[in-house]
Amino acid sequence: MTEPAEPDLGDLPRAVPTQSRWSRLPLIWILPSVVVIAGAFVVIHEMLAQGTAIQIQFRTAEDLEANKTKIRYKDVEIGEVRAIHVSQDRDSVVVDAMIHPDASDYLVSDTRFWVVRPRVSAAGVTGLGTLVSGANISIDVGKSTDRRRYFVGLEVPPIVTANLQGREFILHADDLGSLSIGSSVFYRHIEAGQVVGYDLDPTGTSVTLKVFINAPFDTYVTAATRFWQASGIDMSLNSDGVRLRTESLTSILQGGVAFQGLPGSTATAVPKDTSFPLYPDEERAMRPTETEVRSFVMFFNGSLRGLSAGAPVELHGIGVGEVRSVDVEYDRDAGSLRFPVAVDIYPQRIRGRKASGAHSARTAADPETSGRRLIDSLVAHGLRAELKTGNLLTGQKYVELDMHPDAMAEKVYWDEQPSVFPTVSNGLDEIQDSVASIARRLGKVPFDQISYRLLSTMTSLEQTLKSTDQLMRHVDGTLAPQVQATLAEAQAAMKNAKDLLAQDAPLQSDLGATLLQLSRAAKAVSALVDYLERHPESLLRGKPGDSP
Amino acid sequence: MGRREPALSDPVTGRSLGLLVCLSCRATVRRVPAAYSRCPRCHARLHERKPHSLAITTALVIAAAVLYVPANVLPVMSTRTLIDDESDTIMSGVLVLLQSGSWPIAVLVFIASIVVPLLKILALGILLYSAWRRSTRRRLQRSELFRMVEFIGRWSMLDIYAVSLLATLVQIQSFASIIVGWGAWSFGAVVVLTLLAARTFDERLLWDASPHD
Amino acid sequence: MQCVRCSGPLQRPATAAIDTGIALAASTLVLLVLSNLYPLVAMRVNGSSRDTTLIGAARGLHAQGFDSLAALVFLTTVIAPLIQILTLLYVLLPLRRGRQAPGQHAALRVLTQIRPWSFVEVFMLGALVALVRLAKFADIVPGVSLWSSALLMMSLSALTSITTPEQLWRWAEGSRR
Repeated sequence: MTEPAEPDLGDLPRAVPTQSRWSRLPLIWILPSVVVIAGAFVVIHEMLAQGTAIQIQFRTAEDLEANKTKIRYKDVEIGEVRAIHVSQDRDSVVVDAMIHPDASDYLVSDTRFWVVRPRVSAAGVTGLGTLVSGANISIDVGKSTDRRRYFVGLEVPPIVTANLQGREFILHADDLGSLSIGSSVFYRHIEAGQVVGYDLDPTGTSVTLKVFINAPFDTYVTAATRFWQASGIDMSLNSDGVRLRTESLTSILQGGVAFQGLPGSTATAVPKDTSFPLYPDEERAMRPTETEVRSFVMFFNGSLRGLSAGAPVELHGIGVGEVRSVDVEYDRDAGSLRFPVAVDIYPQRIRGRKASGAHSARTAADPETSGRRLIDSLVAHGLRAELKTGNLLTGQKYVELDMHPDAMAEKVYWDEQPSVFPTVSNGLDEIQDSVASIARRLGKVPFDQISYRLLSTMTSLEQTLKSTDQLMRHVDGTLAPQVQATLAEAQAAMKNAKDLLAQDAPLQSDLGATLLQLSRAAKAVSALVDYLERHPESLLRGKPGDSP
Repeated sequence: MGRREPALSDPVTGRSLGLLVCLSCRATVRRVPAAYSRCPRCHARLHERKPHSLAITTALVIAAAVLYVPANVLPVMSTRTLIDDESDTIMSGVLVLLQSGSWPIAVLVFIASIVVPLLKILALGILLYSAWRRSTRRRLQRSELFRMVEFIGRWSMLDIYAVSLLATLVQIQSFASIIVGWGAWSFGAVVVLTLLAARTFDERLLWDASPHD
Repeated sequence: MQCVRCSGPLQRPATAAIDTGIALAASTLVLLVLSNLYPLVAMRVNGSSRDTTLIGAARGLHAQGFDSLAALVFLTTVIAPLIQILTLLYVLLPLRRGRQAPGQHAALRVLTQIRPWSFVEVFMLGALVALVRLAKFADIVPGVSLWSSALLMMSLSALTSITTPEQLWRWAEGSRR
């Protein structure tokens, strides 16, 4: 490098010193260190504050917008959608979202996402707010501990969220009825849960439903709990009368299920996913289970009109059985029709009422034989079945078992199945018949004729007596003096009498005729009296030959 | 500027001494009688004066002046909302800012985006004119003018940066989106051209004409 | 010190040490990186939120078809400062140990050329204008980059004033001796 030639500086003007425009900045190595540290600080802070990136797969990106749609948990914003793009297989849409760092531990393997949009379902209309604010994605945090970054979103909001306390149970029914997902489950008319799903059984013969019962109602689900369809209005009309039941207005509209424990049961709570049958109505559901059923056949006189299947069999008013069917049989040998009534009796009910303490040990030994023995014993003591009218309004009949001590001795023949249970005719009917026949007979007695005859006989008797009396008086009054006179006369009369008492004397003939009449009358009376003595019923019934 | 030129008889110029200044490294070197020479220190090409300074600078300034028109006429930015479509030139943007109450910013944008480029072009024009004409009047002021021009040149990029940020951020489909207009492009061109013009202009040319010539 | 004729600034006495220059350059580099990593500002309007980095602004211009403008913005806010710092470090670090980096002259020439194209401070003001206009209808949250860019602006101008060509060459020459 060549040095520039030094000119003669004498001529050159001197530069004018001025203030430096720029003040010197005091700098040390601390500055970059500070900057680096601060920078590192910032970087770390930003990384921590950034949150977690996740991906959610949905079928469609409808209502979702990048940098706008929020992700909410319990309506608190915990993240935002950053980008939306179509998946590799073009079958779905993948949403890239950023979750706030303080919600990053929500991202576990059983966490669920769904889009909240306006929806109409059995549970009602939800998500209307999103019409105004725009859709958002809601999250249900799972309980797992495995972290996850890629999720498959739900297309419909879940009925049961993870933090909902309660248990699921399984119900079996013949058909779905008016139930659907979201239909309410009631306990004592309080909404206690929801139907969360249903499916046709593999065999196609019944429907399996899944219900979720919220806490604390799930503790009331025991082994003795019965579930029934409480949809709509339940109306029953039977020998007990008319009954109208409904759970709630919503259940009328959307169907519902109700449950309750059998009264008097103290069973413990059952684990989740226990199966229960779903009964069609409360009545059927709440019938206590019959562990023992004995089928019988009964034959009744009289009309079976008003007796229907399901009619109760009662013992002193207590239900101990049920009529299963009413049939018609043609007995070819006898050439007549028979009407067997198939009846189910639950001996347990009888036993259950009696058996407490000493008896229960005995009866528990062998249910079959002890049951037969019980029935044999009861029948021997006169237990019979009768058909009675339960409801005058509807004319419904039922079967009543009762003790008839003076009934004819009968036995249950256990060999023929189903065994025939002895019946008696209805007492009231007999009385009716008797009264009817008496009335008929009474109607046939010719009361007027008898009375007329009697009257005439009495009259003639009276006349006879009168005549006799007159005669006596005659004898007394007129005859006494007349006797003297008559004695005189008699002498005369004797002479007369002799004359009179001659064959054709009129007095003689008169007297004779009168006495004859008298004896005839007396005879008749005594004959009558005799007859009445012997056949007093003829007063009512008349003489044989008079009445048919 | 009321200062008077220093009463110097004739300050010795480096040129007269046969000195050259390396524009690259500011070394003072002695001239050699060669057509082209390099700086001994930094190996940059040495020129007595920037080659064709006047010509190039004039061309650039003219181009800048031409582009200044579309820069102000064409919209710099249009705001598209659901309901309407609004285009803004620099001037209308300033007015909008004024109306919405942020007048300091309005003033700032006005100065930076309208005044500054205009000043630059005018100043350069003056300088070029005086250089062409070899004018010797008010050379001090003109030199100061030039330094100012050099300094303020960059500030007219202000609005372009603002627009770029706005256009990038406001891209919300359901709300509004901002589209960059060709006015902005022209504006950028003006800035670049004037910047280059200031660089190609050899300010020593102002002083080349001696008052005694 | 002013020129007698035109009052232009003259050479200043060399006062800075090479270490200062390197330290400042390093700090500026860190700040530059920070400023470009994180968003300048986050905007929230109508439920939507958006943010952008320095480079993002340039890309926004590119996305709208103004590639040359995008390039200009990118150059003046990112590239020019970056080249400036890197070149500086490239030259100064060996100088500190008394050695010269290969291609030092070229590097220094590049430095001189690129220096006037660094407009970070103008950008800061431009960003301010943009913020004010945005704040009218949206919620603005300044990001990390905004503060670091402000610091970058100051750091860069300090660096520029320290590392004048004269100073650089003086350092360069100083190492020779």
